[in-house]
Order: sequence, then C-alpha cells, then structure tokens
Amino acid sequence: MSSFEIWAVILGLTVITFITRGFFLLMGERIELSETLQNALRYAPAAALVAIIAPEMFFTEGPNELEINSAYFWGGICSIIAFWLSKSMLLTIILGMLAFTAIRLVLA
Amino acid sequence: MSKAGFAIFTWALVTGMAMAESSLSTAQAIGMSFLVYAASAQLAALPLIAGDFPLWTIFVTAIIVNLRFVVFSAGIQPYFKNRSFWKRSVLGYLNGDLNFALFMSRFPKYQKDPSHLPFFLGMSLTNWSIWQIGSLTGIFVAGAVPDSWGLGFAGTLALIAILLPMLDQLSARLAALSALLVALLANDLPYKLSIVLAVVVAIFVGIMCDRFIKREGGAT
Repeated sequence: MSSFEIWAVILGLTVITFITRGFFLLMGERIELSETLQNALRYAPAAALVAIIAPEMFFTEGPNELEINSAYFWGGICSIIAFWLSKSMLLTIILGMLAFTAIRLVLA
Repeated sequence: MSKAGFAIFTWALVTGMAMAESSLSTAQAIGMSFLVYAASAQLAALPLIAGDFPLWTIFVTAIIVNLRFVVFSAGIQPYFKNRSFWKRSVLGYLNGDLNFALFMSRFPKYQKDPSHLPFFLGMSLTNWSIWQIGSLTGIFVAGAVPDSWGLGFAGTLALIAILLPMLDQLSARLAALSALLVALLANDLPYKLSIVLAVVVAIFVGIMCDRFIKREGGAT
C-alpha cells in the first residue's frame, strides 16, 4: 500500500472513531436504537475480531494453507489458556509471546 | 498509577509496538495513535493494510469492530445531550471502552449533577495522555528490537485479550464459534469478505440461540 493510501486509511479511521463513538450524542434525541437491533449488534464485534485473529493463527503460511504446526497457532492457544486461568490482559499477552518465542526457536 | 492507568499504559505499549512492526512508517504510526485513538480498530486494520486490501474493506471492518461504541454513545447520551455540538463530538471521541466503563460506574443512573462534564473530561483526558505516552514508547522501543522476534504478533494476542471477555454467555460463545468456522472456510474470499460473512452468520446464530434459550426458559 502506498504512503498516500495509508494516510487515507488513517484519516478514514479517525472519521470512523468520531462517528461511531459519538453516534447518539451527535444525533441529539432524534433517533433511538431499538432493543432488537441492539441485541443483534451485540454479536458483531466479537465475530469481526474472530475473523481477523483466525488467519493470523491458522493461515500463517499463506492463504489456503491451513497450518497449525506453527509458533503463531500455539502461541495463540497459550494466550487463550493464560486468559482463562488469569483473566488478566497483561498475562495473556506476555505468556502468549513467551510461548510464541519458545516454539519459534524450537521450530526454527 | 491507578490500576486503570496501568492497564491503559501496557495496552498502549503493545499497540504502539504492533504499529511500529507493521508496514506503517514511524510518522504514520504516530499519526494513527494521535488521530484514530481506537486500539481494536487500529490493530484490526494493520493486517489488512499489510495485505494491501481495498480501503473500503478496511473501513467496513473498522466500523464493525467499533459498533460497540455506538451502543456506548447511547449510554452517555442522557448526561450530555444539552451540551453544544462541538462539546458532544469531543466527549464522543473520548468515549472508549474503559472511559465509558469508569464513567458509568461512577454515575450509574442519570440524575442532575454538575460534575458529569468535569469528571468525564478529567478522567478521559488523563487516560488519553497515558495512552499516548504508552503508545509512543511502544513505537520507539519496537525499533530497537529485531524483526525476527515477531513483536507484531503481540497485537494479535492483544486482540485475543479483548475478544475473550466478550464471550461471557453461551449464545456469545456459539456465535463466536460459528464465526471461526466461517472465517476458516471462507478464508480465500476476496477483500476480506470472510469478516462480513462471519459477522452475518454470528448474528444469526446468536439470535437463534437467544430465542432457543428463551423458549426453554433456562438461564444462560
């Protein structure tokens, strides 16, 4: 991606932060979110995150090459276990990175 | 430093390192930190930028990841609806996950109170400063670390740490599981359409689960 395009992404994301975070504040009292829609939207962010994380863990050799014998996959699994046990964001990242690094060195 | 402040700092540090390790230049990483100020959207955008995806897919993805903020904005609307437009837009911009949670736990129910605005601004601007210090530290520290260490992967792990607390109910877990299956099966779709498809399927599965649980009369 060219430098110009990346700046366009950054500016676009800035506008998106403003609009999503301020949405109902900016609207004043003109519209309200129906409960049905609120319930439906609850599932969207987690699903989007899953779909972004999955390729970073499963398709590390390239698209269409599902590979689970990788430091990325097992590092991710370790961070999930670390979160279950500790409920701490910091430990999730640190233990995941430690496992990732250890396995990377073994597989290399 | 408060517990919240410490969490913000480390979280910002990881995000800063992930940006510096990605295809962004240092100036772009700093610009993204100061302007976008939305860690999950930033981290989600990095692999898409690296993969050279069309801008619109990156924007659609960021909007989906940010949808929770739309719900948060409805939460603080009663407290600030009489403020001027520019004040409301600044307050909205600062209404991130932690700031929203801290504000709502301090003022759970709307009552007339002159301290809403000073509390929100004082708290969220402090957190904004801690965030930027952590993020800048991450951007500059990452440069001293060899690429082979794969520090960018810390960004993916940070996303895992945001994702998992969202899966606190059975319907949310099943919805996420269906999203995972779709993401794996549809991985070769162009333009990261797998994300859009995963979101649509997860919403469908989640709503179906809710209906089933309600009909059975059981708790989640």
